[in-house]
Amino acid sequence: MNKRTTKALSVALIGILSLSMTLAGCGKNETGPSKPAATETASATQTQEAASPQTTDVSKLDNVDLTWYFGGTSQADVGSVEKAINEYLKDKLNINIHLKAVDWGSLGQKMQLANASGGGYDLAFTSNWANDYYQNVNKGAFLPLDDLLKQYAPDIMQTLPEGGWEATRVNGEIYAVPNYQIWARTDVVWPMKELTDKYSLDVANVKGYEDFTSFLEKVKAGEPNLIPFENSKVGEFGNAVVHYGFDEFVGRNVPGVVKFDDSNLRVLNQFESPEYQSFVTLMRDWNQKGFFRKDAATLTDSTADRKAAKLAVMVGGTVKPGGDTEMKSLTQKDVLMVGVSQPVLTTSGIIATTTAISKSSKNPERAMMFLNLLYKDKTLFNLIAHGIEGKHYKKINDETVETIKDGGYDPGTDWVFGNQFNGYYRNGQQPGIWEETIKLNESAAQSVLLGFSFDPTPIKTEIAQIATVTAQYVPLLETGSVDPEKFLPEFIDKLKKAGSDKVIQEAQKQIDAWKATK
Amino acid sequence: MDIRRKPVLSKWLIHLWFIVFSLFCIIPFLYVISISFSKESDIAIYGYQLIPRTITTFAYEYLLESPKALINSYLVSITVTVLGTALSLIITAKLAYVLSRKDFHGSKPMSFFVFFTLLFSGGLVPSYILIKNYMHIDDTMLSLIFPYVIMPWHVLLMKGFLSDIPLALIESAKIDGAGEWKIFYRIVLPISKPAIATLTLFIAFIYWNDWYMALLYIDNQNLVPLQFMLYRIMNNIQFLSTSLQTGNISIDLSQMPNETARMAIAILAAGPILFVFPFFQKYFVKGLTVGAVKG
Repeated sequence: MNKRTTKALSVALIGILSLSMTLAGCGKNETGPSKPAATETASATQTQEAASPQTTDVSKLDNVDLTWYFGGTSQADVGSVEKAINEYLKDKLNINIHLKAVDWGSLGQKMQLANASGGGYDLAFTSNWANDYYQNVNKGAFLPLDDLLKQYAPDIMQTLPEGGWEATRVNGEIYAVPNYQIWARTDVVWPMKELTDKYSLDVANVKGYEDFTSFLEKVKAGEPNLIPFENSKVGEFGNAVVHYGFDEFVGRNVPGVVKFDDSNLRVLNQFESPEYQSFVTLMRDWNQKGFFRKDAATLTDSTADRKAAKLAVMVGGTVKPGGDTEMKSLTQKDVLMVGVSQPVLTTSGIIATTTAISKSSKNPERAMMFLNLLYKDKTLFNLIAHGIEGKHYKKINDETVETIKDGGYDPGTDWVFGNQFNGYYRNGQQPGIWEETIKLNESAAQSVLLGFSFDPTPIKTEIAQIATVTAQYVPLLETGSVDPEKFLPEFIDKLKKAGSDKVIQEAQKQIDAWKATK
Repeated sequence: MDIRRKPVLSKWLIHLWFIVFSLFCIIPFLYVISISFSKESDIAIYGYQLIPRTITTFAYEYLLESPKALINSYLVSITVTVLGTALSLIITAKLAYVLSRKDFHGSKPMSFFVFFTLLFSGGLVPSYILIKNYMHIDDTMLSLIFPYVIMPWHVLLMKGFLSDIPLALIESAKIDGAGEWKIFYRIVLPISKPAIATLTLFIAFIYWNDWYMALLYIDNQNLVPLQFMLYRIMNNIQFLSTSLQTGNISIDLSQMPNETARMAIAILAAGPILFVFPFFQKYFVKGLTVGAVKG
């Protein structure tokens, strides 16, 4: 290449690079959630008919498409379910529903791309563990729903308790409708019933992990083929935070918790707390007694052990009516559900399952009407959750159904579709658990932080640095693979170097600001 | 008279090194095969073993019990691989040939044009927008084929090979009255068989092993390729086993395939390519030189 082309090329290169940087800058929304004005369609309909939906004249509604993305396995016969729904809603809503199930593992990525390329969907499942709610809100992917809810969703407003709305608010605005299911969070362990009978453990007296020690010793001695206690590299402390009274508002394995009942809202570093120290000391003790799998510190997934009923005591999830029958369907053995904390309502427990409306939606008001029907109309809910009677499920009695094998439609995740308490019971579930669950939600204590949402943007770097530290130490300490005497101080020290104090300060600052607005 | 030298120590060291290296490659695969023939309960009790304790074909029976989805994804994978490889090969070869012709004045800047994309790509979002909003081929088989049709690395590989064809050969063909098309099809392609074979394998590999495009663009269950089906199963199990502990969600893990079934799918997915590979081996020696001097 001669000199002139080189020069021209370098100029072109600089141009391209700077252009791409500018474009990259455009894509990021640095200023936190922007408040979009209500879309034109919404405002247009509002001026036309400022009435409640009951008096909406359906004959005037033209037929529109609604696309709904949620997590789960694609069902072979989803087409006939969509058809049945559209038929059923013909004179109620006049829509064409498109149900798009995306695997849980790729939902977040898929939705990010959809948002980047202009959306093209109306409804989406969003939560704090799949298709991240706060990230979406910060990028402005969702519509604020306050006005739409008032206008088109009287039944949702009637059904859901106030606490649910508190949890979904970001800067005072609601961006998603919480799905109505188990909200209260109670730490839980699942011992096998035959073993508690055999080794006479009275679960009524169990208040925490340490009460299992003598029982596990007996299991270890008497059952050489079983693993006494479940543990993996994910770490067990996350299943005991409620037991210790912590609200993990920043996220799992990030420093920063507040005690549920601390009216001063003081932010603590859970890894420096005496509770954490006593927990990892107990785990160390159990590890040396041989209660865990030998490879617990590197094990990613213990589902296989659960299925093989090899675990005397399983851990994880939350206490909920019917939880023991769910566990039984996995292990094929009777399992007890033992709560080791009080039930608490936290922000993270509620936003674990919510539905949002996309900013790109052409018919947000119709999407909201559809959601409203899901909370009110049992027939519609069961169509989505169970499919078509006689084709996808059989009725056993008025409220219980059984899936027809190879029927082609069984999403099996009722909690994705709005109001779970509208659904039939599955075979094996005790009728009445819905009412019990509602009671449990309503009786749960509310965390002092309910409604606070943390914005991690100012401390992104620190959180990333901390993540590399916790990835190294959490599996070792929480499976008891190393001596906490030596490694816990080392862990805390490395956390400090990674900026844990700065995270705590930032969290405190945001909480104080939030407190001032209340 | 025997003039063969005695094998020296260094030679044996090199042999040893490659033997060890090969073992590292082969053993994990043997494990996968072994697990797919093991009993699930054996794995839970004794862990993974190189020789299954009790040999059972249960995992394969379980998979082939409802083979519709599996066969369908096989067909998708095969179709995409065959069509994609054919299309990609012909376009790559033509482009590379044009670039390799020294009597074509635009070849330098055009080569740079191709080379540039090797270093800088527009990134994921622009290509996603192109496929979805401009070409409207998302959720079709084309979205699995188009993104890999021209890969700059393959073009440069082919160009390197074609550059060795002496210009005199082409000129003499011209004098004999052959047109450009005829020269390309009747002379250039036949003498570049090794390169074509190598490229065929490379491209087929990429199409066969690709799951990412399916992740991005495919919603329709009837268009899911084999590898994506496999990826989904593995990825889901991993994702859910970590997130089930964090929230108030319940997903029925008993419906997820067991360890042995997962490994059986892996075997079924890798199988065909394993059998194809040895047939291309002989062309590798010649075809895999990018602009280097051949011995």
